[in-house]
Amino acid sequence: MGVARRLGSRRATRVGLVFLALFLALGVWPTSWLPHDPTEVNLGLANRPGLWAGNWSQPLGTDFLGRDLLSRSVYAARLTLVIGLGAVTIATLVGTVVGLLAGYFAGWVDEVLSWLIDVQLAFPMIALAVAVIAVLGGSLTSLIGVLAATSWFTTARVVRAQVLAVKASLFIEAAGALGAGSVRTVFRHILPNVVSPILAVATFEMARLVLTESALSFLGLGVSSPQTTWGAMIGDGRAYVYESWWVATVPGLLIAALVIAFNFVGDGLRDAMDPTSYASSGRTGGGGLRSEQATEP
Amino acid sequence: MSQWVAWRLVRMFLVWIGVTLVAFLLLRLTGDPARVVLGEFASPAAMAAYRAEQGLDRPWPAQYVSFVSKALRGDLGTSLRFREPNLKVIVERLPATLELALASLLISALVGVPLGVVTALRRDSAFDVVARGLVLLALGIPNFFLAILFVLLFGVELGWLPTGGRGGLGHLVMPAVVLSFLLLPLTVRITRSSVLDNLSMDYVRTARGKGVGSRAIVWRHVLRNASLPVVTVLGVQSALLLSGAVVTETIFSWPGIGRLLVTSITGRDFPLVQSAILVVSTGVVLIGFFVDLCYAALDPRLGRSRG
Repeated sequence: MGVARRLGSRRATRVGLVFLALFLALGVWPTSWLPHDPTEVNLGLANRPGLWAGNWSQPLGTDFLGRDLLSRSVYAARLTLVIGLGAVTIATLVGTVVGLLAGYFAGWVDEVLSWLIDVQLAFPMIALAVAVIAVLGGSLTSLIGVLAATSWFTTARVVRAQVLAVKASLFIEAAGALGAGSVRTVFRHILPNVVSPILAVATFEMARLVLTESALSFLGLGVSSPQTTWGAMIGDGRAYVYESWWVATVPGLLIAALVIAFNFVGDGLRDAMDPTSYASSGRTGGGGLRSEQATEP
Repeated sequence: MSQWVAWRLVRMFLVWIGVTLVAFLLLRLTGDPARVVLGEFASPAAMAAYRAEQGLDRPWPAQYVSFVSKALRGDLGTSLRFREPNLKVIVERLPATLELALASLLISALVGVPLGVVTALRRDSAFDVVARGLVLLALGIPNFFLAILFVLLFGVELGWLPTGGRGGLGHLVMPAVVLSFLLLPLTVRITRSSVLDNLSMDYVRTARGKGVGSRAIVWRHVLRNASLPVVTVLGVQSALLLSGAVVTETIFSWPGIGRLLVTSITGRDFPLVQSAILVVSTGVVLIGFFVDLCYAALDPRLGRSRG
């Protein structure tokens, strides 16, 4: 397949991939190399500016408890990624199964599953997520679960549409004529043909979920201290933003960079799979996989 | 056509039933609504009294039926905090939320559509590249972070705009602009790709061949055809504005439903939370229905084929 090569042929995609690799490395690497303990409180050093004020000891400054922002940002990268990846994995698995079932069996299975998707689309997701977390109590598991719940139907819709298209092809008919059962047809013949769009959707959803998680954490419904994510760090910095703008700005820019990197890679994936799109000119098409879903705060 | 409308109505009602189910289950996620509503430290007597008063000792299906039939009659229960009917509390805050949503929808359309058209017509020009870069940035920056920066810059440093509350036009500007950043990137992208798609269509070539000027082609043909997906997406995504309002309203102390939701959750007023979510979702279902109707009216092919 030329997908990998076409993927690497775009500069924006390469930039996105490099950034993602960097963020992943930061998240996976042990934090022992960090200059300071990310959770160490030192009130004497509270709200100190970083390099721009000649502070080489804490290059990105400190927050209201005197914690080193560089160390904290790296420390928070791990949980930010774990929550996003965890939620997107669950959402993709559920969405794929639902989409396959709805697309392949059609009839009442499709009606029921489409109804479920319509119901879910009716809810203002942030509001519902906020309410569910408030009822269940905030924890890593409930956060990942709620985020997955706001995302699975995007995959389900795309997979369903793809399955409907693939199902009409001759080779599926041939598989049926050769005696392949439903399960075999779905998993051996249909699934491999819808993997690429699933990957692209997952990439865009990852970007969206990072933003949603940051909004929930900002509202104080995310993970609880000492655990932290970039969104929670913005929440920490909000009250001190007038005296020390960097406390909220550092994690804010990190989130933006991560989300944009995922979007670059998603655009690249979509174009690499779709020979009709203008891969070389980097057309930012909204018409493809992305059209139905916008980014929540 | 009337059959199609009837079918849409049935579907809308079925979706609404699903919405009520979710709202109903929300309070029962932990198994005991009395504990959710009254909190961890409520006395057993108080909980028993609450259960009896709310009919929570009856079987779930019976509770659900009475929940829906009451909701249909406009009875959404009473708020614990305000000691007033939930519906009244919510309706009082509805104008603020609608004002904010409409203002940001307007900004998204007035800025996003021209930007999408121009970037499509001048594809790969410097303007296109810069504009798309900015759109990407708008997509990536967390909305609430943007709000903080705006407050800092325009509210505190420059002192041009009030930093919170609802009043005149000045109060509306910052929250509306921040909220519009949710839909703006999508609007630009959809408009741009829709115009690009239409520019490569056969009818454009035919019009060119007939000697129609490029300005006339764009204004009379392309824009008209390209508008349909844009209108649909904006309509469908209005739900997003109501959702995004939760964060934006909280930051700007905007007295709408989003902020009501957050303060109700902090105040453990779960009957109000449940009702607010039900009201907003019902609104979204209705909007979806009307978008479908408009779509069918604009494009007569769809009325028949979409069943």
